[in-house]
Amino acid sequence: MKEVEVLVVGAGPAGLGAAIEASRYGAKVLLVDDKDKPGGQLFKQIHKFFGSKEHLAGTRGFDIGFYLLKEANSLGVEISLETKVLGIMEKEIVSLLVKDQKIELLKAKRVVLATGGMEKSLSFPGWTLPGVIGAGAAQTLVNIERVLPGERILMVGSGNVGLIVSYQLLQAGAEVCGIVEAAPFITGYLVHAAKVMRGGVPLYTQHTVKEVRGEKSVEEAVIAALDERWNPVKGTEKTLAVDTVCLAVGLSPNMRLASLAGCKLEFFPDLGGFLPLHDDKLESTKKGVYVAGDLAGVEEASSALDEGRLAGISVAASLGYINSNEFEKLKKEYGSRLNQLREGPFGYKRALAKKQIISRFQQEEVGGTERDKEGETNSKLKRYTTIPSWSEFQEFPGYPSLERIKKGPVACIECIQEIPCDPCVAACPFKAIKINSHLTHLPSLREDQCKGCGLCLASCPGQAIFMLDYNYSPDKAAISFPYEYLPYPKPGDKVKGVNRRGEPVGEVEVIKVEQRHAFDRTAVVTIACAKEFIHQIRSIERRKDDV
Amino acid sequence: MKRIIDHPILGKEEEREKIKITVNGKSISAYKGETIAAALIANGCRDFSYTRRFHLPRGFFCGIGQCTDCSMIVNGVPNIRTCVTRVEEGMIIETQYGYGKK
Repeated sequence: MKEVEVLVVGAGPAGLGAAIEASRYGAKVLLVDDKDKPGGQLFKQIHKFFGSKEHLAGTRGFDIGFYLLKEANSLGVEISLETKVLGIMEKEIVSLLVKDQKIELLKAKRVVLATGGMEKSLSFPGWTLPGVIGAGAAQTLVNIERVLPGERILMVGSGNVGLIVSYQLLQAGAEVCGIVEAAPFITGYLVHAAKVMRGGVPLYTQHTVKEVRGEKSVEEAVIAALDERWNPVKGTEKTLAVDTVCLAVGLSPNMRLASLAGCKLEFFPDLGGFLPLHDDKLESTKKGVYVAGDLAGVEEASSALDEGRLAGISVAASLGYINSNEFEKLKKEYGSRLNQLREGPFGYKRALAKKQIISRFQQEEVGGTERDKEGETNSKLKRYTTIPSWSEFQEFPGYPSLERIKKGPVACIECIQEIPCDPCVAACPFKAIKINSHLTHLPSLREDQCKGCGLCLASCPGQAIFMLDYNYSPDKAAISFPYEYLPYPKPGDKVKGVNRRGEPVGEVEVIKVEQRHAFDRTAVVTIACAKEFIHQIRSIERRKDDV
Repeated sequence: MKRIIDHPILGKEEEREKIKITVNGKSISAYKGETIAAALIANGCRDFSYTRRFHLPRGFFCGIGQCTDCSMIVNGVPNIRTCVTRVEEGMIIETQYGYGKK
């Protein structure tokens, strides 16, 4: 029987992270995945990631995937694809089904489960019609297969997945006819919502999809407003002519293998549902079986990667490859990196739930059943139903003062929610952007140090930085913004300038379209407009002709 | 549906080898290496199977081989998940009705 020290199940960010670290410290690792390509969902993430330098923030997801595969290969991680794990048995024996053909038994001293998450669904009349698809499925189609799932799309859910996939559908050339959100506010990051709204997508908060109709596939969708008890309000129905409905209503941990292995599961709603209890070393209640990534609580790819790395380090330490002092140091380092990502109003519930998991694990050891009470928190999240107006942005530390704007080109940072992200700080050669001690703190602009070079614009994964040049000409101001749609405008083009909600404001002239290597495929467009629009115009109307 | 010829981040479509597959007796072209589901959607086909009792259409849904809504009969074998199975030259694909037994 083949023997390995560590078997890692799932080759997404968590599994790759675990395999890389375990292998770096000397363990012999086999990484298996049921798909025929490694990377999990990373290769369909074509947007720039949030986080800090350690998380490769500002890098596009697929590039992170390439780095990880390269690292895994250089460390000698053995990867076996199209390999399903059928069961984790006693005496360290695991059974594998290889290429749906043969069953192999394997002896593995440690197992790291990184089986990821699964999309949740939503049922309504017509939800089984072809054309109603998961948002993740839409992302796979457009970004991997390069096929549009449809031409007119309704997105259900305004969390980050719904917002990011809507943006990517626009980039691929589809029309997103609306995003419905049952909550009375946008649930994902405002910067992601701002991108799609500038692109002209209407966002319906406190709305749901009531019905989808069609004969053989989706032909139209009926949406309706919800009352405060989340019931549809009669008479508010609106029929949208769409051919595709994407469901972005959350994910749950894919815990089936963990359950089969005998790990104790419990329900943690803030982390997606039932998941295996684990300790701070990520070991589950089943000795020798570790868990990481979305399986251990649905978060996002950067946390999954770091959690995977921590699991890999724990496994290596348990096998004697890392001494206890060194291990404690590493555990602390990765623990604080993970905590950074869980700070702020979007992350604190996840941070609390993660703590609860660990305390429940400890109780389980002594036979207790009680859960920790939810801790108090100071994190307050202001909720938005739409993109605020400029007077509200002006209150935040990234917006330059009116006097400074009149002096000459200056960056304008419209980042007003505490999210874990800081690439703008490193992008500025003049140290004009500052984020205080915590990764989630808002960026503030030291406006006197800003030279208006514009290097920060393409660095912001949220595309929330603009360049304002009030004195471009005696009667015109210039505004620069990131732009990622085809076809690109050309200098001299007369186009419609749009405001933060995608509404046309006035005719503008394109002055410059910059594509530098350092911008990593984000174009920076500069337009000239009447000076009075300097606080309004933030993009131009997308050209909707054929891409 | 449309294929994405050019893309602001992913760039222009690479040259890919074209192959022929047969869908319900009709020959269509597909790209080597793509999934059956992608090839079908690109060719405008969305109803992949029909349920046993009520004959209701089903199609591509989860896209990761979990839900089985996209199952079809491929080279005579029913219940093939087309979202995780890649096309091959000369593949014969048929809409699946119920369990796919004739």
